[in-house]
Amino acid sequence: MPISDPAREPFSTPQARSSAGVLGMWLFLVVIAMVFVATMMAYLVVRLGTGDEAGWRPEGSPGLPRELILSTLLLAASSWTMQRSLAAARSDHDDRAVTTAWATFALGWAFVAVQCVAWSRMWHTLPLQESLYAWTFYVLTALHALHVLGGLAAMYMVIMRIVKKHDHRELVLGLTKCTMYWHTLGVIWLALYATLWVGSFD
Amino acid sequence: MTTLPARPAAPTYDTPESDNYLIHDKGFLSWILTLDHKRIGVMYTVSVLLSFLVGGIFALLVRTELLTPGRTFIDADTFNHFFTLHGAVMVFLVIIPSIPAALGNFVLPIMLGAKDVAFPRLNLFSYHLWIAGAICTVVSLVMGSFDTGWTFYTPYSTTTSAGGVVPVIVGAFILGFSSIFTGMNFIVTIHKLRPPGMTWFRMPLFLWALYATALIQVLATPVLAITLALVAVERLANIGIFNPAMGGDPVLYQHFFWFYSHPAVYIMIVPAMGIISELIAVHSHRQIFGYRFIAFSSVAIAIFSFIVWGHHMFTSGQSPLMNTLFSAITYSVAIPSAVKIFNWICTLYKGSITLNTPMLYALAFIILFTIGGLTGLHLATLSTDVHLHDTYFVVAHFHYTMMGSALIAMVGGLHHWWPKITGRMYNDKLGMIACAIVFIGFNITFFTQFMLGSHGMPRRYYDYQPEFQTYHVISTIGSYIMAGGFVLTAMYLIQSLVSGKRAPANPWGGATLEWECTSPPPYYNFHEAPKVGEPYDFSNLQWDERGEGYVTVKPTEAKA
Repeated sequence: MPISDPAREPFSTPQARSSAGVLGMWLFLVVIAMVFVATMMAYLVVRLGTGDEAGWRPEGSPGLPRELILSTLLLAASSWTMQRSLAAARSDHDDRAVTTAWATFALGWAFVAVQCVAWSRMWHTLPLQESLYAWTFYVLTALHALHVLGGLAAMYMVIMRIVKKHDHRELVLGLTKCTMYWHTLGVIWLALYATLWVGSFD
Repeated sequence: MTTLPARPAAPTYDTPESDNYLIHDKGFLSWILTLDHKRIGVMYTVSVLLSFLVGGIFALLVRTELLTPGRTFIDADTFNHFFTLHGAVMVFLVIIPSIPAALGNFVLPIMLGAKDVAFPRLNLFSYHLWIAGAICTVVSLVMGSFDTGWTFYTPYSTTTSAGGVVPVIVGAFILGFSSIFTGMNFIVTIHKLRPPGMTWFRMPLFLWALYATALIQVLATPVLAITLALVAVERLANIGIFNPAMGGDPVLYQHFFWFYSHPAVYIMIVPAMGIISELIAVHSHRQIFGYRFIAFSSVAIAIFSFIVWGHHMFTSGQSPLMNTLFSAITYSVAIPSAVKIFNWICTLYKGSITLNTPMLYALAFIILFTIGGLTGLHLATLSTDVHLHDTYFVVAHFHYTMMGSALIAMVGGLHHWWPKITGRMYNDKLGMIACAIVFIGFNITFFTQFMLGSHGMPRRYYDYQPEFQTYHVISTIGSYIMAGGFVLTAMYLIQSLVSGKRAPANPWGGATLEWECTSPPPYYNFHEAPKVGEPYDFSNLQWDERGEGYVTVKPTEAKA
């Protein structure tokens, strides 16, 4: 089948292919960053444009759920394990790299789970249609959670391929890309959380 | 024309090349799952041209309805659907992918001297995304179509009763990612796959233009994606940040939309300018004038594109300070555009110009783009824009740049690379006649609309005052003439596939690398690594009577 045509490989060396892959990842991160920067800008424009008399947070609605602090800590921990995993891979400890990558994978799911708890608690008191305060909370956190899920799926594929093939070069490259993506999502989460937090004051 | 002395390694012209990308594999799957950038480019080209046919039919229906004031043959609601479909199909399915994804995909790696783009699988995925986006548009048609205008302005797009808004927004979202991935692929390819000798300043200008375009694709398109996603969510949940009833801001939508869509018009025009640089240099057989200026002006236009979006919103209630700033920055776009125009004219000056179909399209581009560009200044001027905003003047202006420039360059580029893509020559006489018909029809259609607009005819209106009818009739007749030109083009191009003469490797005398491989190119582009030279040094090329193409001769032979 043409779709698996090894002769189509355009790079002459594996190093050249790796560095192209990393550059491609950087560009993809720029794309992701543009998405979130635009979303946060939109949030701020609407938040600042809402007059005091109208009120941003409806009477009696809850502030941001406390679970978000826990999920932030989980995401920070996962970033740390991700970095450990990449460091292990770079110093040729492939087994430890895979173990810590699995730890990151688990922490990522824990983050998603806590976000779901936060969501369901909000939902009881503040449905989506209630106000823009509710709408922005759900849409912005969901947008981030979707990107985390995408990252987890990619991470799963990378780890499984490494477990099957034991290719050291592929391990380093795969984990490098995962780490770049994961840290970006971490930084975006901090910015997003800060934006939502500042915006939740009345 | 000198006849060359017999050379031992003269290529045999009668027998077709044993291995080329068209015959390398056979069957439907070998195309739809190919990783070959050339096949992907060809599939894009066919898809884009079919979409052009669809969008063109909608345009003709709109123009026909406008023959008389009031109802001519469709009702007002259908008219709204038709002009919206014309705009959306032409922008998202035709012009944006037409040059980068279709011609760019075919040409970029070969011009660069590479075997393929950096990520062949991602490239194929981009094409599949394009197909998915096109399918969404069809789904939208089935579900009741949409009448929002191609800009999907809120709150109309979130409240209209037309049932196909969400599917088409999903489609535009998907097409956006198709465009992003193509852009990423091209940037990485140009950075990482330049062979030894191919320095940045030896790159053909088309590649510079594609590079600048790719930067815009990667930076601007994500904003469109999130904006459209927010509109879709808002429409489904009946609440969102563009909803003024809940404290949201509909003008915010316009800011976001134009933050993408103004750069998007440069996604259309910058690669078009790149094609024109190639066409002008090759067909006047003269070193391009001001190479670095043309190269950097592409990048300059890409940078400017991000800071002029507010000129679409002079009448939206933006602050006067913002208006003034956007107006001033918009003027500055004229500088890099003019730099290109002057350099092309200087290249033509004292060049040995071959008047053939690609050259005619290039000349048409220069004229039409100059008209389109200069009328842009009227719209960038605050005092005149207030009057011209949302009139046919705007319609005429952007058709001069989008169609008269971007699409004409695409068609010119198609004629330039047609022998390379298909391995066949088309009928050049018919090509020139068709080009002339399109050019005349185009000007009859759209120059009239400048007058319509300056007399006050609003755009997108179904009904109009009887005093405008003469102009509308002239404009519609022009659109029929133009359609005739394109039908003729389609006929002789299809005919060339059946019975066209076999194309030599270098029919025009181009010095860039794609002319060094056979027509059509081998499956892996180059049998042996190409020798990279100056892209616009034509001194070593001579016409060879036997093959009716240009061949490279050593400098010593050329003197003899």
